[in-house]
Formats: sequence, structure tokens, C-alpha cells
Amino acid sequence: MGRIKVKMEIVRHETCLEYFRRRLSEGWKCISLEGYHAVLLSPEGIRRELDLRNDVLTLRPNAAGDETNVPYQYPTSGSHWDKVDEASADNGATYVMSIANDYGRDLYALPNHTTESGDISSIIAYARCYISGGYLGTRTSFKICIKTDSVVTEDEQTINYGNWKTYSKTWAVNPADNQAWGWADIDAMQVGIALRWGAEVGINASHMDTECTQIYVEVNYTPVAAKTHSFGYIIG
Amino acid sequence: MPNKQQVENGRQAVDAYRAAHSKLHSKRWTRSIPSEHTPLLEQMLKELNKQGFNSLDEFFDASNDFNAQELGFASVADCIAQLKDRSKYSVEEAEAKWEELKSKWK
Repeated sequence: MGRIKVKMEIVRHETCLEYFRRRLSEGWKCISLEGYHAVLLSPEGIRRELDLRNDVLTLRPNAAGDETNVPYQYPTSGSHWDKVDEASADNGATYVMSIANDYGRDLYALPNHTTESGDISSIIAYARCYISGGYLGTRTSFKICIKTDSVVTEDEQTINYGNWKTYSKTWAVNPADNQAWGWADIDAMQVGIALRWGAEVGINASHMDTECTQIYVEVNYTPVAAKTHSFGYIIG
Repeated sequence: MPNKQQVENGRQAVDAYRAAHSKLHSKRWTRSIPSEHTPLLEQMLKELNKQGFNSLDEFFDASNDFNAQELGFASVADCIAQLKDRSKYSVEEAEAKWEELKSKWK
């Protein structure tokens, strides 16, 4: 029997090379590499485009945001945000969950950026979710959410039965105003999750629950100094 | 197939992780907190590995099956199959049994 390995994940900013290497160490594969443009594929099927001139800033929840409406957390002590902030996902050990037919939404505050600067090409929000075993339902859904400029933007996705799985949503521009991302937008942004059990009418929803154990945001940006770097310089 | 003691030991490892997680969050937030979970997680996984589990999910599946066995089923899958059988359980009985299962250790 092999020893279980935990993938260490850097929380703060990473150069493209550091990010690239870490994702490969986590089991992602590079399925395309042309010039500055790489395409990574996660073990769970997330296709992640990566501009190799970019750095990546990873932000994880550090406080409650404006809404705490996902009905439950497990364990019950502490705060919702601390159930989803870990760098290495702890799956069923700590999570927020819903057994309700209607969506309940949490928003989580994120730390501000520090020394990072440059043009932001996109942000990617990730959420790791799961449906507990049940016997009456067949499907359920969740929404990855961000709040910017006082507007909550949601992306609804379906969860299928199976193991814990990480889902993602990319926003190339700030969806609240369709303008390019600025660092003030990043500092003010909240990330969140809306969970429900997609029950059929007349079925008691309490038979299963939808859970989220980890949520985080990646900010892809081109540091000013890197604009003149070649791919060979950065990677080689 | 893990035995009762292996599952119980695994549950203790998860409980220890949860306690450490709670303690970690009792202090003032710093940027390193998300990655400070990792050694705690490693410790839990190491213990689960000692008990014969290759992953956290494998442990939880075994633990849930154990909960079902305590209610007289072979596994969660067996429980689900039987609770769906209306010749064995009415909807109300099935719901009550499922709630009983869900109230056990998780």
C-alpha cells in the first residue's frame, strides 16, 4: 500500500514556472505548449490556460463576507469561511453544506494583494464540492460566486455523484462592469458558494446534502518586469 | 475490508485533525494559515494510512459503511437499495432510518 501524499500548495504569489511545476506535481498535465501559451489539464478535467509570462496570486478566504446563508457547516464550531480555506483540500473533514431545495449562499472575504502589480488577464475561482450518498435524488447543483462592485455574479454548475471534485470558473473581465480587472477590484472582491440539493418536487431533501470543502481564487497577471522576458528565459 | 478497530482509529485521527483545525483558527489570521493546515492533514493521512486507508475518501466510505452495518445493513449501498424497496419500508420508515444513519459519526 502506498503512502498517502499531500500536495503542498503555496498560498501567495507564484511565478509562472513555480505555478506550472506545482500543478504538474499535483497531477495536472501539460497538454499543449506553444510559445508563451500552455494548456494544463487537471486530474479531474479542468482545462487551465496559462500565459507563461504571467504570475499567479492565489487568494483564500480569511473572514466572513457579506453573506453567510449556506445552512450548515461541519464541524459546527468556528466559522463557515474556515471550513473552506485550506491549501490542501481536507474533503469530508471540514466543509459547508446544504440540504435545502433552495440555494443558500456564503460569501467570503479575501486578503488584499500586497506587492503584486501589473496587468490582470483573468481570475479563476475554484470550488471543491461533493454530494453525500442519498437514495432519492439523482442530481444537484451549486454556484461559484464572486462579488465585485456590490454585484454578485454566479456561475451554476451541476455536480454528479462520485468523489469530491474541483470545479472552476474563469472571468476574464470584472463581470460587474465588463471592464478589465484592476487591483482595487481584487482587493474588494469576495468569493462564495451557493449550495442546494436539486430535489424533485415532493421529495424530502434531507436525504442528501451538497458540500463544499475548499474555495479559492487565482489572479493571473503580467508583472511589469516579465513583459520583456522570453519563454526560454522564464522556463529554461 | 477494514475492521471495526481500524475504522475507530481512523475516526480518532479525523477528530484529532478537526480539533487541531479548530485550534489553528482560534489564533489571529495570517497569510500562512491555509498552508498551516497541510502538516495537520499529513498527520491525519499518515494515521489513516497506518489503518489501511489509501485516501480520506476511502476512509469516509468505510466509516459510512460501518454506520450502516450498525443499523443492520451490509453497507450504505445496501441500505439505499433496501430503503428504496417499498415492500420492506414505507416512505416514512425509510426516511426515519436514513436520518438515523445520517446522525451517526461523520
